[in-house]
Amino acid sequence: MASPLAKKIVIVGGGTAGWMSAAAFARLLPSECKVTLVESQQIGTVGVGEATIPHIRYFNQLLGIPERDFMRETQATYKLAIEFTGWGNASSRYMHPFSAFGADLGGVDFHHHFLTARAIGSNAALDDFSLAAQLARGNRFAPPPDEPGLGYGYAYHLDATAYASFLRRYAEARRVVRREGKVERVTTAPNDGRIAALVLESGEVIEGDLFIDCSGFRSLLLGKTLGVSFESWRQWLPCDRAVAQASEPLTPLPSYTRSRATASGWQWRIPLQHRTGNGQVYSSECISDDEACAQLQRALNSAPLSDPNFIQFEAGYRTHSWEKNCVAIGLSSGFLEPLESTSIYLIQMAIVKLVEFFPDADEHISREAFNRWMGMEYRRVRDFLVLHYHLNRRQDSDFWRYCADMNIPASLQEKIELFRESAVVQHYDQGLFAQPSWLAVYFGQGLVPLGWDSRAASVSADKVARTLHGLASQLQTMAERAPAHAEVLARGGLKREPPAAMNLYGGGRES
Amino acid sequence: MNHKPEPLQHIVVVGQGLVAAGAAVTLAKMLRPFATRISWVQVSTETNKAGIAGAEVADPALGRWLEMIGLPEAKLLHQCQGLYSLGAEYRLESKQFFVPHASHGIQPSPAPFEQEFFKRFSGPEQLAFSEHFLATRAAAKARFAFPAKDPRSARSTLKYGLHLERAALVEAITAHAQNLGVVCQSTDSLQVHGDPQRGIQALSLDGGIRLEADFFIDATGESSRLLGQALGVEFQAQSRSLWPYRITFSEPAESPLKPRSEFARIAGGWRRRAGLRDKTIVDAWLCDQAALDRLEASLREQGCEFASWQQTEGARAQGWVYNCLALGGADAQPGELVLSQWYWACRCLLLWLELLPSGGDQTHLRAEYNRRRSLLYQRLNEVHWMHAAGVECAHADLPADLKWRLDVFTRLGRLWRRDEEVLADEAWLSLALGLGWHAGAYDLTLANIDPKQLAQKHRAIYQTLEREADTMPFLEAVLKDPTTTRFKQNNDG
Repeated sequence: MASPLAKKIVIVGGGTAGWMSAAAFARLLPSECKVTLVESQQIGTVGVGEATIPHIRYFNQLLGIPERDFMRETQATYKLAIEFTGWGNASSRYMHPFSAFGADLGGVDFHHHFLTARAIGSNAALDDFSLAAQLARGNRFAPPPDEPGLGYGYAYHLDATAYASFLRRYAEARRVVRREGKVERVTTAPNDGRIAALVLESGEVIEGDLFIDCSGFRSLLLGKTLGVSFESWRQWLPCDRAVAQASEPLTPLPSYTRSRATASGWQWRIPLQHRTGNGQVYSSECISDDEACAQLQRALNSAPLSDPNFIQFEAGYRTHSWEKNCVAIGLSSGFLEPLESTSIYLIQMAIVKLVEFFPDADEHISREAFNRWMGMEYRRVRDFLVLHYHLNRRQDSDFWRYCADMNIPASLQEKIELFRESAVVQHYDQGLFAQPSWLAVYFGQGLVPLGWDSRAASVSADKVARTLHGLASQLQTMAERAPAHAEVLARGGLKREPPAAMNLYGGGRES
Repeated sequence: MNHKPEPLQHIVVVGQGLVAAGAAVTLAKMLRPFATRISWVQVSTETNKAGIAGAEVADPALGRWLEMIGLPEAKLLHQCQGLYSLGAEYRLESKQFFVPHASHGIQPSPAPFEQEFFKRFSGPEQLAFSEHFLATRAAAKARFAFPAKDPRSARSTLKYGLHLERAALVEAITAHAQNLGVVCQSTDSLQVHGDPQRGIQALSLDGGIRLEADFFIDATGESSRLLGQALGVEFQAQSRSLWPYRITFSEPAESPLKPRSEFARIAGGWRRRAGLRDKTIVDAWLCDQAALDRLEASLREQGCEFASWQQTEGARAQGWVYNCLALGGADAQPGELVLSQWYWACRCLLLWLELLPSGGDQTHLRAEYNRRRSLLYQRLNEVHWMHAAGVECAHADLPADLKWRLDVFTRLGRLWRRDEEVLADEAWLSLALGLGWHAGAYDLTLANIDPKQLAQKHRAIYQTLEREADTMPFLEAVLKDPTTTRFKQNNDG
């Protein structure tokens, strides 16, 4: 019981997933666990997850990384929300903030009162009732206030390559050994097929007890060596290409990520201190790489700083992220497009769950627990991403018509039908996205429920209008008093970092 | 937006006993402000056997519910010969342990507190974890205090349940329901007009009275007059009935009164003692007729009155069909050993109120209710199975979800988190450790920590809790002294 089974841990790949894993192991695993990371400078990294969600703050705090150091080293900016434009119809615009909308009134969820207000002619948007969304709209940033019901979470936009380098320094200062070299082959034990060692091009042999596959899309260990199958979700998430290009930083500096739907996909815009990350995600069946690149360049808000970088992918995941003595973390275990900035979250959850279920006497139970948990995480995130595509009301391309008409997972169909009928968001305690996130997309993309809570409908029109107007005005005033995002960054970030939790909305619900 | 939703106009609760009374008063409190009329039909032929000289042994959720319906707790406690409870004390042949309602209040540093005990001890000694709650220490000394609001105070970790004489509780709730405008009607005859295709249309009562409504709550107990009989929703019995025989009797009150219930293993099942001010109510759950016969014979010899009956564990295929919601025994019997039938009914009712249908037919809303209600049933039912493991059933025969959770706990030392849990983490851990499952691993961040350092820390915590418990008043003093009650009210703001 006292000593873990796996004493030699070998990580393959030094991108975001690799160095996040190495840093966490260095901090959390006992000293008798030796951690080696193998990477090659000849192999580029995808650099996923430039936009994050609030859970990353918990990860950094767990590692004891001060926020101001992190912001300086990764050229990070603060992030309060994602703005979606053109996702309902071509002119629609909404925020998905890291917060709830309003607070319940008389024991009835706020959004039912919002529906009552709309029924009597209010043209307020749901975002009006989120302080985080109001701040983001004004390119402002402030730490969450203590007042109940007004809190929110915040995350970062970061330079993923710089983050990996920062974590590399952290990890190497804490017993992680880095080996430079390309993996030429992987040897497995003849009796049970477990991975025995990596053989590098230099001939060096690196043996281990537990291998962490952070080799990206190649999935060198889990996919290629152990043959774990990939379950494609392309039928629901049809984009399979992205082109990325950096440009000059933005002024004013947004405190949100922007996702803009285009005729055959969507474009991201991620504001960092030293540059802006831009990208076009698209389906290769609908447009060519050149067309996608041209679309992206036409949409740039600032002068380009780099050449376009093309990425191919397929949405889906490996049915077992942990097979034998190999755990895949990051792109090697699956890929869900960056629409809701979940890549780093999924890496982080894999690390947390691996440490939590770290194998001791019996690896089988650890493996099973890890695979069940990560499967649940992937499926719940998947449903939420598919929702964005499926709920579109655009008529300007076959791509969007296909998405609106496609058969979606039954688990998602149930959720949509429930909301359409009764304005109720299906409840679950585990997994990432909870009621506020579903509401943001349902309302933002124009899913109009047929009914809602009759208790809210019974409140007098005057009272509803007065209450909602009062709340929106209060939030607007608070937002207008907050400093500009760029000002906060110019001071090096927040002086005192609020405590973080594994929570998307800044308190209340653990996720 | 298609139409403004119309509230339900008229809801009829059918049945008698705590589930029916509780449903009527909750609906009245929550829905009358929205012009929904609540009627309560008390069918005299329906008897709730569990209500005979019974005690409602409630966890802290009952206090929150009382607050919600506006029934003053202190007054109710007096009317129902009630006691405050800090948890459950288990007395098994080889050991004793306590399952507190409380939290331990100790922040992870960095590992969760229980992990320290898994590091320090292996096997049964891990039970030391449940000794490090103020509730445990206080209950052992027959002391009680209300939770403090100041998070720096050890008393902020306390939560309390209630023991209440059930018949008096029903009486108090009934009176409150009437004050809230519930229209009560008693009837000897009940005819339900409805069918599986259309739901419930009306009820016929004594004197040819026909009662129509747009929604019906079936609280008729196991007979399930509306959901089961009229709408034909099938009852699916549990694969194995653990303790189909129940018996209730009373004993003299213990002295001094202690703020806890007491569980013990007896031949053929479990016995629970729950103290009231003037007596102790004893309930037993028994696995076979022979065990029941033996206990009945023993009680007869002592001249002790008792009530016994049979119960089948299981659930109906759905709890809400068309315009009919079944609550309590009319819906399912997940097992009442730890959490009562009212707890089960109340969770379902609050879930229904959270989703609250409007006038029209909402099939997806019903599906969502039934999905979550099934999860709740499983979680409650699992608590029963935990108490049967190793005696009435082998580990291999436990429900798959529970077996998995216990495997993760015993082999990895971790709680497998799920939707719709019914026990707080601390309570589940204390119960599992007490019933004989031990964590086989601990958080790796503790690997390099010296167990002596942990022992020292735990000793300091234990001593602090002991000292704090010694400053708390005796339960009997709290029950007698109204100033303590005032303190509580002030404290709760």
